[in-house]
Amino acid sequence: MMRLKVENLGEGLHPSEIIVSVPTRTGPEELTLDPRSLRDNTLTIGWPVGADGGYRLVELPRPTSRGQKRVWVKQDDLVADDVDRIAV
Amino acid sequence: MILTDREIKASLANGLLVIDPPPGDTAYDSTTVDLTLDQNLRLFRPMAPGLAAAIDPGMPGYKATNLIMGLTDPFVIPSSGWDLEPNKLVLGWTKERIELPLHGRVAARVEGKSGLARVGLTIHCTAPTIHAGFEGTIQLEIVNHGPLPIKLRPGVGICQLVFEQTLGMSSKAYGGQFFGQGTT
Repeated sequence: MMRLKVENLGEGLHPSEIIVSVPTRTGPEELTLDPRSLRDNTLTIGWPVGADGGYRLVELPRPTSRGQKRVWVKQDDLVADDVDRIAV
Repeated sequence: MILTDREIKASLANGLLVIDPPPGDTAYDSTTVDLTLDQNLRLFRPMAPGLAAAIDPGMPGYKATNLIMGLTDPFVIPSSGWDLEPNKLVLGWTKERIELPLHGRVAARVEGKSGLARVGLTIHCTAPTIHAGFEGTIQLEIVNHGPLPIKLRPGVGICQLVFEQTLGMSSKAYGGQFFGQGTT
């Protein structure tokens, strides 16, 4: 599984939420998260579901503010997660 | 396939679902589990006539959180409760934190409760799906459609979750075939 680098923008609308900025091919997208989902400014996204050159199509755990669930991100913004969690 | 109470409890015991704090015995029925209302709400401020601008969610760089923070104030429901007036929208959250791990092969839907619906209270605006991989509390869009104020209290059973087993696992859980690949 992979994790996606994001930027922590601060607290959300509720104490249980934070807001992050997701860097996508079409510009940053705002995403609400559980703080425990964020580790070293990365977010687990499972495996990419598509590829186009240096970009990977990833599915976010929640829709962004603009309603995007799957977004294109730079492959360089993906980092490996714990491989023991690979589904079989 | 909808999970029954026995399967929900088994999934919780096996770590295929997480509900924290865990629901009590009375929160279950045959195919759902109730969640409760957290004390923290966001209340929309009254709009001055002529000052309201249209919201444009499709605009590049749209930032809903900043917008909603500018339109609302945080509010903590007192233990004595708080009256939601008719035709008002507030944002609420479940007290419980949910996790639907990708390997659990479960998605969920958040639904209202019939007893609250009968007096006009709805808890979401057509967005009930909790996707596999979700972690966090569930945000609720609470509207009083009824004729009288409805008292909201912290900890009241506000919604219910229906868990559905997925047929197989989604692409994001199923392998790394696209990680090193050049094109689709």
